[in-house]
Amino acid sequence: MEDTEIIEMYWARDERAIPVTAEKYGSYCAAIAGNILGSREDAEECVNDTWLQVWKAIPPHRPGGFAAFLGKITRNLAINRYKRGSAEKRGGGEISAVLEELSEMVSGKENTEAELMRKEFAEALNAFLKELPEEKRNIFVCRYWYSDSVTEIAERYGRREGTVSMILSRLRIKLRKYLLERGFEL
Amino acid sequence: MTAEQLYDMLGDIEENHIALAGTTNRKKKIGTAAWVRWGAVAACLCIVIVLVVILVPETTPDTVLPSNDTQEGPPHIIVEGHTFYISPHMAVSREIPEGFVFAGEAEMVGMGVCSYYRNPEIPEWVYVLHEVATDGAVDTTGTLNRTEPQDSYVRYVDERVRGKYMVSYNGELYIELWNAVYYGENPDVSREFYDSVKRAFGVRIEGAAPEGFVSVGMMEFSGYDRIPEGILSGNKGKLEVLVSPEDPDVILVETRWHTATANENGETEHRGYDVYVRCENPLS
Repeated sequence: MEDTEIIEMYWARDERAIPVTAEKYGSYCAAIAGNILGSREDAEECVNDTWLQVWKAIPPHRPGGFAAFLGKITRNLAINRYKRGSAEKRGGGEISAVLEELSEMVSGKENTEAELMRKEFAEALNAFLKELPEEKRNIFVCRYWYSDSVTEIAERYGRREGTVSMILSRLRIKLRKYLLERGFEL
Repeated sequence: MTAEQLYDMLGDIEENHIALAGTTNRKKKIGTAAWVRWGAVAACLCIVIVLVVILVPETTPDTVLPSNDTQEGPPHIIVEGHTFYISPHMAVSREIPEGFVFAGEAEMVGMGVCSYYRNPEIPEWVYVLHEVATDGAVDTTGTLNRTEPQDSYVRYVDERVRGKYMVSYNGELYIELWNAVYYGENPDVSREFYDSVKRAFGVRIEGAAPEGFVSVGMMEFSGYDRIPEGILSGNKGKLEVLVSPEDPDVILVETRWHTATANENGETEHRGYDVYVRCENPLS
């Protein structure tokens, strides 16, 4: 079923929209949640929470890209669940490795003004990504948005794991420099 | 900044970058069987949604219409004692639709007082003038172009019609069993009738039509959100209609649907017929 048809079902408050969404995007959302949480049980609960959020959001929302819309909700819910600590008790997911890599880019001190500059940060981040070659941009997004493992990314793009790690390392350095030059405190 | 803060902020990567990085080929970690229970859970959503507002932090991206957090369900307006909900078919125009004239103003939750417009030829609709924005569209270069909110005429549909697929055959009105309501103040059909048809045919038939049903041709498309009229027309699309002289209360309309469960190799198309039952005009 086309995404526009599914969205129409939400607008019509047709309860069949949820199982239809789950059939089409359940695996996609589960992979995002699973990468962050590392536990099937947590991921499943998180994805179920996603369907609730989507039902609540549409209408009035009319997402332009339905998959990314679902993915964003899943990612946010998974992060919240991770922060609550329930995931760590069950072993955590790929996020531990991702955070370790990102820690190389930042001071590690809580930045209380981070939320205030969020919009500007997002604009700079997306401008940076737009300038990257497509494959490198995709690899960055796979690692730091989808939280895919380096192994999965290497398989997907036909690269060796070491190559992917090297690309990511260079992108982190490049992004850090890019953000610092634009006045962001990291 | 902490690594967690940075990770959180990386969530603001644009949707087109996210989409291009791939929604496919992701490792399946949960089977689809887990979602079966949602059919039942959905029925309780009205209650659960209220709890979610309290328990789950707000994670919804940009909203489309002005904030209406206190409202449950779709945006709606009450005109002359009847509730009109926003059309599920995204009917929005910058110009006032032909035949519609100013008919008054009404308060809408989260949107203040709005002007509405009616057309006596189409009593099942009102158009309401209020601000609308979309997420925009991804252009050929992959750039997401967002739109600024603009005042627009938005179609709202009488709740007795909205979301219901109907067919007019020889002047008689039929409603898709899946949409038919047998409860509440304005039932489309009686509970007994609904149950008897459902027992005999189900709500949808996969494969060939039951014996005795013959094609009477393709119905004309009356337009979405409309009550169809005439010899053979319907508000779902241009579809084949089958009738049986033995059972004048039931007609069948061709349909197709897709499944893509974990056990299937890609998407499977299914063909069959939706079951429609005779009903009264919901506005009469």
